[in-house]
Amino acid sequence: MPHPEYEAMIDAYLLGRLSEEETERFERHYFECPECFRETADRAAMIEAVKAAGPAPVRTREANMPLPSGFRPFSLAWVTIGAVLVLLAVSLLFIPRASRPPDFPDGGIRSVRGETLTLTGPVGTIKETPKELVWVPVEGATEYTVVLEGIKPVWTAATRETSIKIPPEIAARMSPGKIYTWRVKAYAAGGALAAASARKSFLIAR
Amino acid sequence: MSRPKPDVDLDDVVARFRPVVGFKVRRALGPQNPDWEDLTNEVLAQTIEKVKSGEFRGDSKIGTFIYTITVRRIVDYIRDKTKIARRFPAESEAPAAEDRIETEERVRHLTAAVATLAPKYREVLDLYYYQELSREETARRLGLSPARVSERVHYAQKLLLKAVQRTAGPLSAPPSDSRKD
Repeated sequence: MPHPEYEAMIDAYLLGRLSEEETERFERHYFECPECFRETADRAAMIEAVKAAGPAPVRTREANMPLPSGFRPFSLAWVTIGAVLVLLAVSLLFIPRASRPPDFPDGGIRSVRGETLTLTGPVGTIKETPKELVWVPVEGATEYTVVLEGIKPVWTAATRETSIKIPPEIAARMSPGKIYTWRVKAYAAGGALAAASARKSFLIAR
Repeated sequence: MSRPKPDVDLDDVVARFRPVVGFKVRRALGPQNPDWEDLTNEVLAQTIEKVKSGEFRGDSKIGTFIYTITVRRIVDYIRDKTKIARRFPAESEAPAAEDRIETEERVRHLTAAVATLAPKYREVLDLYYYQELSREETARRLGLSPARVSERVHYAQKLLLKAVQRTAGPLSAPPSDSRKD
């Protein structure tokens, strides 16, 4: 059985939500604890599979709200919607497979299906600690999440813009001579993952 | 030549830590990077060398010792790779190794098992792992309590592990060698 204290950290570790210190503590632990390592590796495989399986239809609470009065079971409206759905399903069978968006790595341990997202900068060697991260807009995206990492996660944030300022307290934790990577994910309205970038690295010159 | 410390069984160390080091290195480099296997081997080779030379004195646990070697090697790799990439953008190489194929095979089985889950589990996994929402946000979207989300995630995981172990053996299993713990 994994240690309860560390088992509670597994998801946060795999999803990059632990602080630098917590990440190191967790990793040191699983290097010593076969049970916690096995549980972590199993969970990582599951997450990879969930990503590979693609998005699932989600019945959110909003979807379970009472229907308008015109949509009683067996009403004409339902019959019409049913017929449209059948036609749509049949037509989908004839869409070539190649038209599906490609799989692409998000730089972590898994891949997602969707459009790619392009990071503008910073990349390569830069003279000083960057003040902001910039990327190319994704059509239909309503929110972007950003993950900045050194050897361990440094900062995560969300924004509706296509750039984000790095807060001074985060910049203060970044050091010359070290390499940092960052990636961005775009979400459409409703929270569906629309696109993800590959990781980009930059080195702050000494 | 120095003799290995008598209380360190190097064969056992390699067998036990190959999957652990490999997991950490893959996470750091990304699964598409074929260098993770070479790096893993280098870390294990360095470990053997340092144990034989007496550098590992047993002050810390062997896992902590190997963790330190692993992190240092990853830092060096990323630094070197960045220098090279500035001049010569790397082309992706075709990774080919039994471990990789084995991992892909397990993920394939697992992916198939995900599709067979009941909708109430699938939608929790989708929001929590695919869309990477927090447990609280997942709960809010589904009209559940956060504790209920955790229950469903854990139960879904058990179902998946059972389904895959029936067809493909333990998920994290790995090492081609015999790990006993």
